[in-house]
Amino acid sequence: MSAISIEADAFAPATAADLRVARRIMWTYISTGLAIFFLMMLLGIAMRAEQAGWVTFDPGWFYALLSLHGVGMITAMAIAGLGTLWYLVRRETPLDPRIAYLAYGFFVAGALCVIIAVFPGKFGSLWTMLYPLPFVGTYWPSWATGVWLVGNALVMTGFMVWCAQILGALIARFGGILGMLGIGYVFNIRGYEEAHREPPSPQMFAAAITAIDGIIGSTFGLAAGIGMLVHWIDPSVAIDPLWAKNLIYQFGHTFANLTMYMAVAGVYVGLPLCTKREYHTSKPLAIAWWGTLLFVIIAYFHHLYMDFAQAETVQFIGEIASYLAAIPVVVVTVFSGAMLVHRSGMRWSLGSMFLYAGMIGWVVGGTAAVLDATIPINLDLHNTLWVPGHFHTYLLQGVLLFTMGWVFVTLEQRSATITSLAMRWLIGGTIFGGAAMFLLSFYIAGANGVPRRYAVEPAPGPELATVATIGALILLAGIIIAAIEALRLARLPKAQEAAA
Amino acid sequence: MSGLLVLELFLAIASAAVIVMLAVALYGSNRPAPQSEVSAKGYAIRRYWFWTILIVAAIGFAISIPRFPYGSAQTIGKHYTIVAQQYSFAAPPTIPADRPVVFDVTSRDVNHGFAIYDPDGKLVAQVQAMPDYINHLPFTFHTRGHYTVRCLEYCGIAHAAMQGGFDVR
Amino acid sequence: MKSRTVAYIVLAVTIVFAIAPTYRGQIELPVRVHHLLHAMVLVLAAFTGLLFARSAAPAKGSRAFWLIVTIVAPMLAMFLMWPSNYSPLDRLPAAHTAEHLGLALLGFLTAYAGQQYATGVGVAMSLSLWAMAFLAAWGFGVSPPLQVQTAAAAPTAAAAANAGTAPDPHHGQAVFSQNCASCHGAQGQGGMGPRLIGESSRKDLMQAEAWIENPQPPMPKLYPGTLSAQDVRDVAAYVETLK
Ligand code: HEC
Ligand code: HEM
Ligand SMILES: [Cu+2]
Repeated sequence: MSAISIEADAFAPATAADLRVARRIMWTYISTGLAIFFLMMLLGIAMRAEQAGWVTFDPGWFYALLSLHGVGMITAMAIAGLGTLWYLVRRETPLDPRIAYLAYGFFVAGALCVIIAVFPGKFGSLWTMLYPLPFVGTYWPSWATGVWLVGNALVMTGFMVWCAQILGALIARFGGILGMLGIGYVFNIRGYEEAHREPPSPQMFAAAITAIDGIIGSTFGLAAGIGMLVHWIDPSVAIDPLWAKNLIYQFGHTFANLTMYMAVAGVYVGLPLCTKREYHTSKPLAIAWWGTLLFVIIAYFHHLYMDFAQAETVQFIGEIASYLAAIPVVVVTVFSGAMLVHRSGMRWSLGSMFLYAGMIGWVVGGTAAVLDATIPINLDLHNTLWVPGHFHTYLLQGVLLFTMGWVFVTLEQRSATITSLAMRWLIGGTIFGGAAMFLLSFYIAGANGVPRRYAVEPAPGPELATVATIGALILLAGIIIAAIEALRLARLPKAQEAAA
Repeated sequence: MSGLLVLELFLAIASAAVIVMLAVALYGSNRPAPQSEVSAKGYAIRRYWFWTILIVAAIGFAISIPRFPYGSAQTIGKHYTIVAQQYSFAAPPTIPADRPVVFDVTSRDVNHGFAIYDPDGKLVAQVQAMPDYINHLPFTFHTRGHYTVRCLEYCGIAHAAMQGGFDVR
Repeated sequence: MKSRTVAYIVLAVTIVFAIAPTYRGQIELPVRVHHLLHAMVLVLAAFTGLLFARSAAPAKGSRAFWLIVTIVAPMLAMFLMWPSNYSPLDRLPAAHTAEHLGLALLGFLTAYAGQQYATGVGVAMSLSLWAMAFLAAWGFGVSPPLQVQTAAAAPTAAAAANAGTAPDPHHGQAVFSQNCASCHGAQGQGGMGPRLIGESSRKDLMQAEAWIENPQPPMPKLYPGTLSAQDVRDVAAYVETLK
């Protein structure tokens, strides 16, 4: 086909100058993501302190901060992950850097709108903004709802731009969707070997699945978002609340889940660097990613278990998909990661420690999620603090650690320096110890039926919130020390044989 | 299944996972082995691991199905209408004990939750209260006393204060 | 037949299909059916775009422009899927025709621009566009009518207890603890909302009633949705008694 021939030069290897540009893009994305993360963490601590009764503020502000924290955190993790993936894809196929900046522009514009909706708009419908909530009985002005909706649409647009760029590049690079997903490889391994053709590398699977599921998720998100914008312009336009709920959760679940599958690319590339071993695409890896491709987009039904009006079949699908989503993780990704480390003689630098701990956090958070995705259990845990317990484990001790691990591995490789042992213990102790306190109090409160999203919690919420706030402050200290250490490493001169 | 039981189960699985992961990483770390050797052993274990996980998931699923709260149950028992609104519940003052009842739950304005806490403050059942829809929650009360109802879906500024209740006699 | 010829034939079919239903006369289409017709227009139009892209010369230079078009076009199309019963455009046949042609154009652009950007992207964005159209048919401008009425008719405890016309502070107290105490405190001592003890010195009965019927945010407007006129009088009378 004619269109493929224009990409014929697509296989020209990236020059040093290309990679320098790509690395700058990656660091722009990662530093933006981590900076937003830091600010959102402060908001998180403020909220937990409010629930503990250390400070009091108007519940309207509590919910406004919660709205910003939820959307801001997920976007922050996504931005960091997308930057990393962009760079990794650029190593294997040409990409136009201007489009990466275009997507970045959309993210920043979207983030600004969201911030304006909260300061000064005091928008407090949370990221779920379940219709008709952002329009009925509100305590914020109507313009804030509009600005918030536009801000979310801009973030989704940026995400779409990124996904479309990567999708186009991978299709061209691997000769179509079958090649890109490793389908050709799995069904013709002998042929690939004879022709000395390599299947896509593991990190390309992460990029491909992010791009495909990202487009699917944003489709749902934009349909709901634009539908609500139309309602905002003309309030007489009716919207089916169950429809809105399905679409919003489809988008939200996909987006939040994908941040993990973006960040895992850092493990695919980073762990082999630490262990001096190789990580190759295998048949189970490809098949595992196909499973992920599917389960990520249908597992969201578990958010609607308590909507008995929803068809019963999809409740079944929700439970099955949630269970099956765990299999690629524990049987392939984490298993292979552990195998890579086992008896490798790897040094526990900050980078390798975070990457490995991230896998543990992923499994622990996933366990809590699978339990909660069991319908009879969900009856007792739905919308209790168990839910933030599970996803903070997954995000804070999974996605964030992968991102930080990737940053440290890159910096350590670049400077050929490893943080001193005492410093590693200090950072590890504060981050893991603080996080454990913070997370366990969510789980215990949730198991005792304390609802999530309560500005003022019933007992035993406040006592546990006190423990959590102390834990979060310890965690904050650890993050600050780690950030200082990262800056120190970044300013060291570049070592001779820089790898990553 | 009660929340505290789930918590115990979770803590057991989670600590097992942490211990296994740490053991894999640390055991023998002072005696490095070539990757091919580790992989060969690992792949053999992985086959069993895959089937173990699959079977555990299948058993979990099978156990959960009869405990689903949906379906035919909505026709048995006396029906009580629950109307949620910002920020209160209109609920009947008393509900009989030891008899199947069905709550027909809906909302006048935004999405709310209808979560029942028993006299000890334990969450025993819940369902969403949605505008335009009626959700039927079947339940049988065995313990008498005053039950508290809380809203478990964020609904606006006074969400945390949205409460109701009824007596089970 | 040359692929260009096929492309022109499909284009013609698309345009006819887009225009014809707008001259249907007096037939009223349900919103959902209308959405599905839009979906059909989009399917045909995007298919046309894919056909034209096959025989078009490949784009040169920076293709960022095409990328933006293929991403923005489906969003604009979603706006044009404004549900028919509410859309001002649907009242005039000419405007309605223009709306359908606009949808056809956006469908075409989604596919064509996507393929011009990179092979496969046009197909992916067309699928995204079609998905939006079918999602719209599922709940955009459509809500389950039967249960709305049930919800509205279900009596609240407050309404059931309501009778008579003279203000009844006793009943007002019940209304208050159900609707107002969460913000103003069980005894009106204040909380999220201001303290109402001594309210009679700030607002008289009439003013309190007027306020409750039309409050300023963040206090919610509960009348006439939740509170009847009688409830408002009663609760106002109760508030006036708070000392
Ligand atoms: C969501 C919380 C909320 C609820 C529920 C609520 N209010 Fe208010 N109310 C407020 C707030 C906040 C103000 C102050 C608004 C302002 O001054 O702009 C207020 C103000 C008032 C005032 C005027 C006080 C003054 O300054 O003179 C009255 C009277 C009042 N409320 C009565 C009621 C009654 C009666 C109800 C129940 C039907 C009720 N409120 C329910 C939050 C609430
Ligand atoms: C030290 C770090 C953090 C603190 C102290 C913190 C604190 C909180 C608190 C108190 C809540 C509200 C819980 C409730 O009552 O419902 C919350 C919700 C949430 N947090 Fe965090 N958090 C932290 C890190 C993160 C990270 C890293 C992410 C994601 C990457 C994240 C994403 C979210 C989301 C999505 C919500 C739900 C918002 C909602 O309910 O609408 N948080 N967080
Ligand atoms: Cu609520």
